[in-house]
Amino acid sequence: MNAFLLIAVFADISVCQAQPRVEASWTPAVYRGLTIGGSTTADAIRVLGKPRFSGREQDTGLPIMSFVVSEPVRGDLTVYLEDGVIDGMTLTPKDLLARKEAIKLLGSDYIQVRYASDGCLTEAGSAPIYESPDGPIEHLEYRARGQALILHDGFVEAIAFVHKPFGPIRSRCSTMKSKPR
Amino acid sequence: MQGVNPITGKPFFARDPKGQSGHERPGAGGKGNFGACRGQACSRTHQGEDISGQAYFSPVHASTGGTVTFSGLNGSKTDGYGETVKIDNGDGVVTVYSHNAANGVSEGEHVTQGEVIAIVGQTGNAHDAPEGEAHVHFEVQVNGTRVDPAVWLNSTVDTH
Repeated sequence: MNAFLLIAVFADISVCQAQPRVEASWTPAVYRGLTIGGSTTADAIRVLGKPRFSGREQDTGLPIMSFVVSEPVRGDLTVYLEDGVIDGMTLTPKDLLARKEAIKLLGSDYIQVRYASDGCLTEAGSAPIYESPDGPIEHLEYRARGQALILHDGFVEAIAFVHKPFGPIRSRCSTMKSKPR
Repeated sequence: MQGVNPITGKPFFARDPKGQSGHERPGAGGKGNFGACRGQACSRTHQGEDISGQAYFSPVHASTGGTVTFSGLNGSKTDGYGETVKIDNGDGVVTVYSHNAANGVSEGEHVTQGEVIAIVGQTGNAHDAPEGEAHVHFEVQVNGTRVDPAVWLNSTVDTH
């Protein structure tokens, strides 16, 4: 009996150790019927109306359109485009939106992830981000819905709608530094 | 040592009222503060502070004195930083001024704090920015790390 229990316990441990770290994977966000990574520029104009601004984002030069929206909160919605397809959206709330209020709005099924900027990859005034447990950028991510609350000082800086991860899980700068010259 | 606002040439910086000379630009095409979202839904962050000025009119002042380590096009007239000046104060602080219409200093030149080094423009990625968004993209590096210029401008920094 004891030997059987021991075998069962060891078998259980070996199964646990063999399992990879489970990360919630990203599902493309859907905003008012627009699917990130699928819907087009024309779809965006049809659903959201005439853009308040259409041009290129400062520093990255990416094509964007921005709209005034009221769902799920009032604010400016920036739509990022790539080859005529919506590549991401950020909604900047018009009024201060506290973390607690935002969680009430989007739900408590988030994971908290912190990011830092990869400074050595700064290009034309902006740098990519990477997952960093001690990083200054805090996200509450709803990966199964492709959404994230981007927080700053306890308030929501933006609600992001995406179809892929925000950045790699480690700094590319540290990898570059560790490479032998 | 305290840096001066590159547009006013005087100490201190306030974001508001946005769009007025010496304050943060209004924000069409992305907010102008350090850390603001950039790229596909915030996959990048803004590494400087965009300070409003009048294109082809407002002078850009050296925030610190030091040696000009770069003066010229970084990228092109329609891509990247555009016309840029970089100043090393020799004490761990490097300041960068971009999107200028024209630069008035050369590499190797020594400048004093507050000296006019360029004129505000819309070169680089700012070339098609809407009216009212003309600015200097101002970056501050302290000991090799980019810091928030708005915080740095309002604090007395000991770089020793």
